[in-house]
Amino acid sequence: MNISKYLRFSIFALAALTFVACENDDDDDDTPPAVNEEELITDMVLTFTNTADQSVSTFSFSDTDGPGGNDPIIDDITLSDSTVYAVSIEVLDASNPSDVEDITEEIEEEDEEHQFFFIPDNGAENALTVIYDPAELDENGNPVGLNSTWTTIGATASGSTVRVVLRHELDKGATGVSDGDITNAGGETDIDVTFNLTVTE
Amino acid sequence: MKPFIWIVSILMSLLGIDHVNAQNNCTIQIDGQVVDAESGEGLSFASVILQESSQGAYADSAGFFSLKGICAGDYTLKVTHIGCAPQKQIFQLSGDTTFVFSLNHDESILHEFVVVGEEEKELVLTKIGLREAQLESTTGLQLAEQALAIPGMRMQETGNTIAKPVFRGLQGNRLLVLNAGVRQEGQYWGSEHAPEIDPFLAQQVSVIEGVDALRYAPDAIGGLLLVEPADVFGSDSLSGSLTGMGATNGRGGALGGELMGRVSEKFPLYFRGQISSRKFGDMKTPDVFLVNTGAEELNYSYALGWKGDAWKAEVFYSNFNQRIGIYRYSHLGNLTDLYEVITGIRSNPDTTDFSYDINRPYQDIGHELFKGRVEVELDAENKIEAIYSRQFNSRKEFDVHVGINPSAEELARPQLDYALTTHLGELVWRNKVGALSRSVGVTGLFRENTFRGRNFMPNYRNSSFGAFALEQRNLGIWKLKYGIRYERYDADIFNPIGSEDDPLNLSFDGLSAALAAKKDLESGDLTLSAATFWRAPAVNELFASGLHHGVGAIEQGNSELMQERSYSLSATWRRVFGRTRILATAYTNYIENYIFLNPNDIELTIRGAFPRFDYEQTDALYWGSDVQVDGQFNKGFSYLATASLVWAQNVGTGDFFINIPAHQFAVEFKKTWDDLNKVKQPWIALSGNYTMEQYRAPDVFPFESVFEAGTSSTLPSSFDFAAAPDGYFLVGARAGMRLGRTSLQLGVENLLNTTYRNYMNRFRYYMDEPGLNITLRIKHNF
Repeated sequence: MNISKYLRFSIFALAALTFVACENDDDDDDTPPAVNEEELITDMVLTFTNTADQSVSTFSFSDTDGPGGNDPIIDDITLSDSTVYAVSIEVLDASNPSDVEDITEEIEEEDEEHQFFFIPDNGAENALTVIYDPAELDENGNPVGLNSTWTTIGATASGSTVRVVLRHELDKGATGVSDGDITNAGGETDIDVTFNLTVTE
Repeated sequence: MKPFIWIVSILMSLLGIDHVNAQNNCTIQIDGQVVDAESGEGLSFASVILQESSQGAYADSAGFFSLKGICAGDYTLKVTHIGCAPQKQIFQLSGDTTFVFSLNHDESILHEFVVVGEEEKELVLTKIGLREAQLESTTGLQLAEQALAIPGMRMQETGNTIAKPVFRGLQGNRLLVLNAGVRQEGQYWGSEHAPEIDPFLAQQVSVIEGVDALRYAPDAIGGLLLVEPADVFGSDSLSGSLTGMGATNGRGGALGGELMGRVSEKFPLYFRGQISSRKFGDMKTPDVFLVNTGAEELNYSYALGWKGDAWKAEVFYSNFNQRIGIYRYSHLGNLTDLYEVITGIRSNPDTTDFSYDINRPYQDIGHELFKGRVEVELDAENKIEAIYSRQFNSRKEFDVHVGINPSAEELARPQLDYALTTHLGELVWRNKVGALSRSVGVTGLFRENTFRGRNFMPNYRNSSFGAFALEQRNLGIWKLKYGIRYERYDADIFNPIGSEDDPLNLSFDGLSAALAAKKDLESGDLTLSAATFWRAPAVNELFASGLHHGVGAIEQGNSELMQERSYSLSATWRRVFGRTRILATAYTNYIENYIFLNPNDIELTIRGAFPRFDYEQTDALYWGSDVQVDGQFNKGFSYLATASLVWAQNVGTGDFFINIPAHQFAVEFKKTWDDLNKVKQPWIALSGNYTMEQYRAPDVFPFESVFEAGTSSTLPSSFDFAAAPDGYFLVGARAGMRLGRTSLQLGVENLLNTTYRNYMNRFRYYMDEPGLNITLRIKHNF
């Protein structure tokens, strides 16, 4: 039975073809591919310039191994009373120490979708006011917050804090948002860091 | 009825006595046909069993069957067919005999479950499933949704596009899925990872447990969901079907087609081909459209089979491709965002715009299965079966957040990308002598999983070798089946836990054992099952590490985990009382070293504070009961009532586990009329389904105190981010009829357009369930 043999063969030929088909879709080399880590925000650096004497101090949040693992290192912010500071923010991906990536530039490029909020709390609201740098506006004329002005208006009680939040895809047009009120902002949180704050007399 | 054929047959067998020869030679053959008492048409795939010897066969598509190699003696022949009352025939056998059975095809009992008791190749005692006709009323839905009609079956959803089966409270790694006889291998560890199976493929969907699952796996702690395509050898003539489904909610539908047959009468080459596709847009709650909740799918499969004199060979290939949208506003940055959504401080942008678009976040899933199977009948008593299968699973998850100001390349690539290749080989020997049959087999499995993108699970290779022995005995009214299985599991863990040259090695081994007994009662039966299974901790449980954006939680694996072991008991009782039928199951499953995610700590990240969930072990107890009662009030007016109760407890701490289905009660009333000219059996049905609030839910996460105290806040020993939603009552309606070879069904789900949230939906924090949905289903057989 030649035909029968042929048909029998064709079954297994089809089976073999199927294998080839499978193989094509497969990354079946022997070495599993290397890790291709997602973009990560690990560090935020706040640079304070005293507008009176131009002295500079920096405070940062750093968690270079990302979420989990080692605890982050958070500086305590210490400021002088009755002083005006120009504050600029730098955001970094320092997960690979040999290739630190500056994410600040990327926020600048996508500024209409991002905004920082500064929230003094636990008594700090009586010691500090923060306004956005009026010169720094996105293409829709809304603030971004990479640059801001912090004015100390009194000494802090112990336990005072200031919270720095970065939201993206938020509603910048909602009530109060362009004045720095986070209540109606919505969106997704990229950064949410609370610093201890001391304003000395 | 054709009683004269019976009488003639019996007389023939009585007259043709030749005791001396027949007793020594087990060579008697019984042939026959099973026909519909009304129409006289052959009933395809009726099951025919000689109870004393447990020899049996399925009738072919025309209702003919044949049993060979039978010894002389006294026998009870039991004939069963779906939708018919079983029939028994007691007789004395001494020579070749022919029977014709006429079964009453009771169409008025439309609510029914199949309890397939016996099969030709192996006695299956615990199987409970849904026949093709029942699957017809859920065509176009996902597999887990189709399986819901099985008593004890529930589902875990992620939004409305991803559904995972849950059986008796257990899911994921503990509830295995067998597709076309092959253990489904995908990324089934995630609760947002649904089984990658085309439901159109299934001719029957059922569950088995205990000893029946032992042959397939050592780790079927929660049971095994079987998805069985039509038998490739099932049709000698060309036959097929076309199926269509359309739904108003989601404004989509599904199409499927199947063709099967035999190439020619000369050559026993059989084939089956099948294709299906699905496309849905955004679903709608009673109030708003859920943004980005569409789905699309294209699947196909083929099978070829060759039937020799004493051997059969088949190949099967299936290809599954799916893109599923994930509700846009389920993706949040941190706990504050989640808190604002749950408490209503922030409301998600309502939308009244329907769209078919699928944007980020979405999943692209592909699954290929190739299977080759050869079965050789060595002699009347011995059979050998060899199966090889290869699966390739690809899962790409596209997050909504691709980094700040992404490049074109970043925009195109998935954030999570897994590729899992699995090879599985099985060799089984079966032996059947009279009332005793055995099977012994070895299995080998090899997996390789690789990832790209976000680091959540390491790369690994894993092998698993098993050997099993099963024995079944037919002791008259008692049937016994018992077996044991040894399995050794090895894993090599690569990047980033170990390196390519120096992987971390892990190995586990253990024994599984099970026993089941079935007793035939006067008009029903009782099945008892006891089993102990074990499973090695899965790689995600050992090494997962990362942030889950949707629920704002960090998940941390634990490399110290030990293997998990279950001890389960169940009893299933079936009984017919006049016009009423009862199926009741009670079960308990004690799981030692039960692996689960437990909230442990608050961890600070640059996005704020997050709870950290660690994989931990405890002892867990699951117990519950499923009851199904159906019957007739009078001719054409029937009902089906079901209750599904499940409890679970962390025995170690006394806490409740999250995502355990709440108790559910349902009833459907159905009216069927006589044929109206060409309209066959028109029917309508009205149903009500009440799901209770899950009152055994963990505490609610103390958001306020965590925001206040940060990492120094104390957490409850178990928690959920929101309280369990209220119970809800849903009303539905269905109607159907047959027109020649075409069947039509109209369905209305959530008839009252009730707004509710489902505890078994992981997106219950963010969204309501879909509202009113009207569906139309058409199936044409040719």
